Amino acid sequence: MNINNINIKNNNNNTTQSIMSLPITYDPITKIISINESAQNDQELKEEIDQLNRLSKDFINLNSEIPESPEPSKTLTPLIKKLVTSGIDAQKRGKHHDAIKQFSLAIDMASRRSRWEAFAIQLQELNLILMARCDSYIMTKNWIDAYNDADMLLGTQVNTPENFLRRATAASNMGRLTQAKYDLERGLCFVEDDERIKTQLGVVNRLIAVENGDL
Amino acid sequence: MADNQTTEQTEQVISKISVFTPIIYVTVVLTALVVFSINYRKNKINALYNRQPFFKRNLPKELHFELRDSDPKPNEKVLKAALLRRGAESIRRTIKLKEVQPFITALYQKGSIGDDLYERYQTATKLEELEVQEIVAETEKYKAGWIPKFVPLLQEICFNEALRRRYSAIEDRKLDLLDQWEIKISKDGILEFPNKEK
Amino acid sequence: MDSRYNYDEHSQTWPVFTLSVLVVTLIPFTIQAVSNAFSSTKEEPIVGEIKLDKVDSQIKKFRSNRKPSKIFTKKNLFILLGWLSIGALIYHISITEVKTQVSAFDPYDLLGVEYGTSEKDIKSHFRKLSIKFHPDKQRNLSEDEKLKSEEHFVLLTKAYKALTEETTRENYEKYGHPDGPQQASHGIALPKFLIEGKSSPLLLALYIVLIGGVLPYFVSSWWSKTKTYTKKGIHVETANLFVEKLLNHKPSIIVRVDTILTWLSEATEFKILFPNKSNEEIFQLFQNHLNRKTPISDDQLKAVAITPSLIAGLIDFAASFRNTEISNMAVETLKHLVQAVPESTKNELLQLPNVDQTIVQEQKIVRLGKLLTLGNEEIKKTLGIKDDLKLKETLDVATNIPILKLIKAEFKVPGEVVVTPESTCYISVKVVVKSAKHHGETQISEDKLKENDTLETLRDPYQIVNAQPSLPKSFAPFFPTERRGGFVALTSLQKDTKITESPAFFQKLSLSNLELTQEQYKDGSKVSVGTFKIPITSPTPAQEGKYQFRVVIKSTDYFTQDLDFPVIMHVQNPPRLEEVNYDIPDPDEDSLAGAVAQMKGEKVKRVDDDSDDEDSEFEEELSDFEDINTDTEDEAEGN
Repeated sequence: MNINNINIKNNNNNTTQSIMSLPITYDPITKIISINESAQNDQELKEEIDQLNRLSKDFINLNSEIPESPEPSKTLTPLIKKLVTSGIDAQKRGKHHDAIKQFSLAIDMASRRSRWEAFAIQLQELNLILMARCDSYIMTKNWIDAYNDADMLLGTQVNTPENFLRRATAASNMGRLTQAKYDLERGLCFVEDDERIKTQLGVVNRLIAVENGDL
Repeated sequence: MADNQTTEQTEQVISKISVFTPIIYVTVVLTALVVFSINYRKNKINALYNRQPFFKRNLPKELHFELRDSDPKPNEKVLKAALLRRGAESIRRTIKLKEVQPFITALYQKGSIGDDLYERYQTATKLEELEVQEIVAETEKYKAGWIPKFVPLLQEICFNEALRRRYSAIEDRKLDLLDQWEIKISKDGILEFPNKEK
Repeated sequence: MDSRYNYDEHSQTWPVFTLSVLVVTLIPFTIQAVSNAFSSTKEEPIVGEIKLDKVDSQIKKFRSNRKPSKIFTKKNLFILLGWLSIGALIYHISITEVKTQVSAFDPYDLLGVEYGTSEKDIKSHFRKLSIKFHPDKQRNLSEDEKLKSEEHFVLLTKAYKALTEETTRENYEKYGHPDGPQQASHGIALPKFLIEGKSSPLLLALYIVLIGGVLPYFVSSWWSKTKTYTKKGIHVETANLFVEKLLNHKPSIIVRVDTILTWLSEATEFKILFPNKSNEEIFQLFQNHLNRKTPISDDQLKAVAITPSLIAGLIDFAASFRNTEISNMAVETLKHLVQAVPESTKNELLQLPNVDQTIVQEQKIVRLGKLLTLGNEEIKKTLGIKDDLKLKETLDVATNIPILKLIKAEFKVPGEVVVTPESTCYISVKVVVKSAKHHGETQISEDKLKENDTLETLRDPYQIVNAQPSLPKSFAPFFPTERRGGFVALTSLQKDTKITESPAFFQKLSLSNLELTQEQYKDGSKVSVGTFKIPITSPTPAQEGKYQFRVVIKSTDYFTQDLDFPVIMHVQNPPRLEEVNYDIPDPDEDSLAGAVAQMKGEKVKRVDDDSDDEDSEFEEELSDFEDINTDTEDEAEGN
């Protein structure tokens, strides 16, 4: 990389302002950076430019020179809350497909938050919505999406027995029995007397025995 | 008489060699050593040149450079955003380097990695420290005393972007898992589990 | 006295010298070679070995070519040449007349008189002899004979004088010779032709080449070799590659067999082996192997043959990076390569011989155990086998693949009843090896699980593990080399699911249970119990409490239901004051604070220096985030 840069520098001694030349264009009116036609396949650069554009947009919309604190946005929070509440309402009424829609919308809304807003709050917010959405997926027997939501929850180290139970339920229903067994055992490590996990573990162990031809 | 002659002859032969012997010997040994050391250094320098950076390309940094030095200058806020991105990436790398430090040291002590990699690791750490100093200097250029406000934002950006990336990976992970577990999706969107008894 | 060294003029000393050097070096080598040759021949048949020969003729050829011949090795050639030259030397010595420069001088013998003869008798005897041998008295002799007789007469005179004259006698007594001290001769055991005249510059040149060229060459090549290959035997560049892969790995990406194979295909070993092949072509070789494509190319066999050592290296790295997912998948990939089975949920069935891949894929059955509950006709249908003979082969393999069943797993501190704080401990795993034909539970009596602490076992708790018989060769007809696989144990912490120990490999375990019938297995009296012991490197925590671990024990060669179980380290002892968490210290929190401090504090301020309230509060706050960043931070990089 460095060697390339040096070469470029040597070749364009007349254009001193730019050492590196990325295939990008800056539009002074929209203040948006776009990737040149030639580099459309550079997924990495694309992703990076997207992240930068998001950030500068947030910056431009900001009234002050620099965000004073990582305080969460006051306009988005009630909107997200509203979506989540209506999702939970739908869930309670047994309308899980509607609930899933509301939750997904809430997640989309939450992702509009500026990136400098407190991460702890954003994480907690996302996790709460994911848990609710995961339950609705389980209720609609959408195992793979349920698995994925629970997987992300456990990936962010929310090691609650509920999350282990969620992922295990999804896994066992897709025939991934040993995976389910491991999740349940791990869940029991943290909460030794969780009856729900114990029952589910019994079920999974029985299924494994059947799969093995032991029963 | 005859005996005397032969001894004289051998002495002659020996003395004939003794003139060149030390010179030849020393020259040969020295050239061998010099050639060896030249080659060794050359290889080492080549290795240094060809040394790949520990991380892949630093796009946020490149973008920041590109925008900062472009003419006409982009909007100040765009530049600040680029600097924030650069700082967030630097934080990510610093964390990563610190995280793997015990692993690298353990591997080096076990003999699982060579000197080269260990040195590369240390170079990477130093480079990252330099990068941090550079970012601090850049920030100060915008306004003196901004650093304490800037830094907390960097971490939030670093983590939040990671969280969003993890979330947006959900769809790809789903497809990958379905493929790995040989689960087929029928036309009406229902999953077919290959090994599940009905 | 002549102080010059004389070279070996008559070629008498150097052969003897060379001979002794050769003999001294050759004898130990020969003994070793002979004992090796004999020890290998008495290879005992190992219980549970699958002897079915399903190896493709081309792979057989490859195996026999690769297998170092026991007889035609470089070492044996060296030994043979050595002995040949010894023979030649002995022959040379035996035909060379030994010319003693200074022969032993014995006046009595020369004169031909008895020891102790009186001086008078000697005098009279000498007179008689001198008349007989005096050169003037000898006639009709050739020049040569004349010289000899003169020599002889001089000797006789000397002998006579030695016994009669005072000074000569003294000389004889002191130096063993009537003439006084003899010339001391120091020989250098080099043949004369090397030293003389024309060839001496040759020797010099040889010497220079040896010291100036050959020696430095070998030293430097040895040195660079120790630098190009790590202690684990993988190329340093490959080691670099693995570290980079682990460092830049995005946790959001699911690691699969192909992921590992892609990494492997970039290894420098393949660039050395196939300079003209791209990474993609190497990857294709792996794919061809997994899909058992025919014809099998020699390159494919060569490439696949070196994968186990690369994977072992990768497991080492992944475990060091505490990455459970990659470590697990690396072992899985090894199984796939050993059995030549593509990624599938039906691996257990696909590894059997004679099965039809497409038919197996359509079945609901995934486990060998379930398969063996079926009748023969059903098994044939499930596996797509038509021939009864082939079915027998298949079942033979299916019933002899060892399956582990966990009986008991616990943490142990040698010599202690409980797990004590701050002690060295290990995980003791008691297993029963069973065949897929064995179903249900088995009765294991307590005393089979007991280990009596003796002085020996206290000193080396792993003795009992190593005393178990070696595992047999694996049934891997598609693998380019013969394999003796085993089991690998990966230990991780439940709290963060990260690996805490280096992987432990086991190659010793009795498979005698495979021969038991279902009744014998159920009854349990004949069932033998196997033991694994997983060493834990860090001492137990100082604080009392329960620490949860997870152990995965995988077969490296067969697809079976691997063991995956939780173990709890219950540390017990009177409570202590210090509060130490059994957390492998997570560097993130600390490092983040460090990075932040570095940016926040003027220029570089080390985190150690920060002790004010603001910072500690900051650290606490960050500890909440540390979890996310380990899983998400790395994703900033694209592919």
